[in-house]
Amino acid sequence: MEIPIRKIGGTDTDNLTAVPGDVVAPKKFVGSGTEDTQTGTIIDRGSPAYVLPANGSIVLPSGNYSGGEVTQSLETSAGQIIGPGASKITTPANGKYFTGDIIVGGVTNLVPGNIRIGVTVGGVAGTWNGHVNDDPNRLLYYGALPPGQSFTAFPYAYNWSGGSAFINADTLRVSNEYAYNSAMQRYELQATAVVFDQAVDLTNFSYLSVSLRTYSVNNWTSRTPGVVIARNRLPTYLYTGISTYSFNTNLEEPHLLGYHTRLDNDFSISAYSGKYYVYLFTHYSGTTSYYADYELVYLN
Amino acid sequence: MELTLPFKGSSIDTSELTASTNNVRVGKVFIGADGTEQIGTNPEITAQTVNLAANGRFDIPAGIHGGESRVNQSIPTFGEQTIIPGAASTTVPTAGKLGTGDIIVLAVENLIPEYIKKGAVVGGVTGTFSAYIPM
Repeated sequence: MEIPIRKIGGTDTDNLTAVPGDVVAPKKFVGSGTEDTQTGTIIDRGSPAYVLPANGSIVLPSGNYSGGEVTQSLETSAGQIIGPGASKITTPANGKYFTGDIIVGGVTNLVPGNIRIGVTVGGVAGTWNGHVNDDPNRLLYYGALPPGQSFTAFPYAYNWSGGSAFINADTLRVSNEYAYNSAMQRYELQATAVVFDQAVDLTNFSYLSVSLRTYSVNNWTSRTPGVVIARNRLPTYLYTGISTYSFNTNLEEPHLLGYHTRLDNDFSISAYSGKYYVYLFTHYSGTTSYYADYELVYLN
Repeated sequence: MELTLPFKGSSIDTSELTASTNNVRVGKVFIGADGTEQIGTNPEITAQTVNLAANGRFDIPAGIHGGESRVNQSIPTFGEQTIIPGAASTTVPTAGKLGTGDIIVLAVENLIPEYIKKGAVVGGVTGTFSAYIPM
């Protein structure tokens, strides 16, 4: 015979299933296995707040949690662009989390033409050799022309051969060859004129100074190198003939400032104002090729 | 025939019971603070391993954690780097990475005014070189 046992208050402990391991400590209860009061053993962890170190690890032990969080507060940095220069640059990155890349820009304007020849800057070997002329009133400065300035070579005289003019190292070289002129069917010594392609304003200046470094025939007789100014640019011919001292009639207000009597010459321009084109010319009577190396042409 | 027997220790003193449903594992039956049979509601949480993103957040779920959970992190890192600057740009791939050292950009070699063409500005340095060197 089975005798059911009634519990006081109608409570049937057989239904109870909770054991201490099911109940948070130190809560007390009546559960499975005994009618005695039992105490929960699950450790109560509460609601912890952890901060995770960079690339760290946190263990959440077993137990009862009412919530909680694991957070992190790494210093962050966006991407950066660094312009390198003459000084070392240190970008603090230790301990930072980057959301973008760090770009070290190329060194601005680091090209061979900006670097002195013979030296290497930032791995770029320089090629620049020469003077820099930033004064428009210095038409020629040791082989350097000011910004925007240029020159054109042409024959000194009508029906005559002109030679060549070019920047040779730190001078403007005008080269005249004794050569056969097929059009005129004769041998002749070339005579070259050069015009600076941009006019200059002579107002407020007293002299146009021209310095030759070398005049290879070194003969300061008449019709040696000379200087002409005119209102217009006309690179066809300066004079009507090699022995004729008449200007090309299409030149406007031409003036012969003078001939060189030595390497350095100051030609007075006090009488002139306004814009003029500057012409240099070479002429020598003989049968020997020669050249003239100009160093300086400037207003002062 | 039914016999009514007194409950052993016939007086459960419910006054000392303190457990409530949220203190007891879900589904477990107990007598707690109110003296009646109740069923636990505190959920069971399975142990887990969480990989936290940079400056991420992990909310610990409420409940009974039966085992150890772990919160780890594995952000790629980069150490100290030294960049030698030149004409070309250099990209240091730092996006999404944690620095363990600084980024050092060395001074541009020989970047002095005397080596730069007069008037040219190279890497912020204005040149002064204006001369002809016979080669």
